[in-house]
Amino acid sequence: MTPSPTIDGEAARWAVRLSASALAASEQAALDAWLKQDMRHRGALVRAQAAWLDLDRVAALAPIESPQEREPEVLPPDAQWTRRSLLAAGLAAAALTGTGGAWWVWRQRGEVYVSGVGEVRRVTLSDGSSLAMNTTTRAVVRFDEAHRDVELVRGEGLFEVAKDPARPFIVRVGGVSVRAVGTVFSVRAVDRDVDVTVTEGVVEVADAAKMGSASLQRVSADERAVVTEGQGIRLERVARTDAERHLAWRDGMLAFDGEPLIEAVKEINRHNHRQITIDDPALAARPVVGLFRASDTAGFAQTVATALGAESSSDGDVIHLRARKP
Amino acid sequence: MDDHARHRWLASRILPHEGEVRGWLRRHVHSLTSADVDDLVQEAYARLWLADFASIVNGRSYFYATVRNLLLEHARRARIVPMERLGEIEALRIPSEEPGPERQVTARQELERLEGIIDALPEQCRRAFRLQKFSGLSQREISQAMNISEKTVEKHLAGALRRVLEALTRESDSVRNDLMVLGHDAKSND
Repeated sequence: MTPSPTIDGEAARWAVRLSASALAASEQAALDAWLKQDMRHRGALVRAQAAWLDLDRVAALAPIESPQEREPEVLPPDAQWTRRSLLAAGLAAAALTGTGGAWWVWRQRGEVYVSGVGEVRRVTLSDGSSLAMNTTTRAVVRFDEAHRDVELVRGEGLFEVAKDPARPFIVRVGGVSVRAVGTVFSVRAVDRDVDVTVTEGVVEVADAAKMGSASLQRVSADERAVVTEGQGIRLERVARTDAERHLAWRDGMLAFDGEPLIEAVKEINRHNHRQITIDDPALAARPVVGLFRASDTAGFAQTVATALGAESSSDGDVIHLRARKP
Repeated sequence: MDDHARHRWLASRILPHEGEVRGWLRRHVHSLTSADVDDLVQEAYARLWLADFASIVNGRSYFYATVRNLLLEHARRARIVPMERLGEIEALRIPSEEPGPERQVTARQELERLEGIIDALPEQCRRAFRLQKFSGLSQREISQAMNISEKTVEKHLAGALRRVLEALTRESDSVRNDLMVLGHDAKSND
């Protein structure tokens, strides 16, 4: 008898389940029980999880065009920007083309690039532009003869755009679009606002949710536009050193220059599964200065604790920061 | 420790060598059944999961060494191989790395291999898989797109992953077939 196919089947089921969302308490108990039964179960699970994760990388290798399909474009390429309408387009396409549907949906949706927690990923796009993705970023890239469109689903990207006046380069986050011809800029969609910082050249930022003059803004080098969807665009000047500092993540580093601890912790947590919590409200507002390795949660906690006269203690996957007892 | 980083390490440094390690096991330890090989590989992953991976320079050698240690432990307990084979196992050498052209799998080939696996999936399963991995849809979005429950989506995705896992073991099939006849049933199921 061979128990292993069953183990792999179970492992696959758990790996997929764990990748989707947090487990309910009853599920967690079932998983723990299964893992405790036999040490091979843990091995099978981590193997399945690694394989499942690796598929993202392999899938991202897929080119936009595939020789397998030659379906006509049923929908005008411009009519499908929101996620919902993309989904609807996909459904229509799947219905039309049967088995080839998935391919079609995939092509309509463009090439998907994903970076994991703590990962900084650089990709060169087919037009020669490059995209550096900060932690937990997802971008969908769709190029054709007349368009270069990138949908930033979440996260943060630094775009170095190759010049091509015939095909404007547009980055979209929901109803906010950033249009560039040849320039360097970053787009961040982490909090409610969308931040656009320009390092080189000029971009145009548009907020589709807001009508009138406030909805279109030119942003030049050393400027940042902060867009709160539907509420207009705010323009700020950014010192060059400040802009560079904000892009330290490209080298796996995070730089802080007086940001409140609570902001710094939020940023470092974004890069790691291991999370820091501030147990003492009084600490939250203290300023943090320094250059830190983005992946080194413990090192960050230690350094900050020392600098602020606080102490850090580890509790499983959580690091607590609290004021030192006198 | 950071689980995600561990999974990534396993994916990039260990998984690519699994087929090779299985082939090596089957070639050199003739008494192993394919179920024994599965068991050993699973146990090896369980150990690798606990390893201090940041300090491991060469994942491939470490994988081989882990499997070899497990073999020795099993041999001492006479679970898988008869005692007289102990020396034989101890003498087993980890093959040196040969980055020959056949070993350098290109991105293109990897993708083609994945396409091959996906094409063999039942249709619903294939669609769900493509929507997740190629189109980046969440399980909920897939359930809406395909008009099936999220539970069913999960089942399809797990089915697809199981095929991918099977493919990982099949890397050197011809070798396995040659050696199957030599295996005897020393399998223990506890």
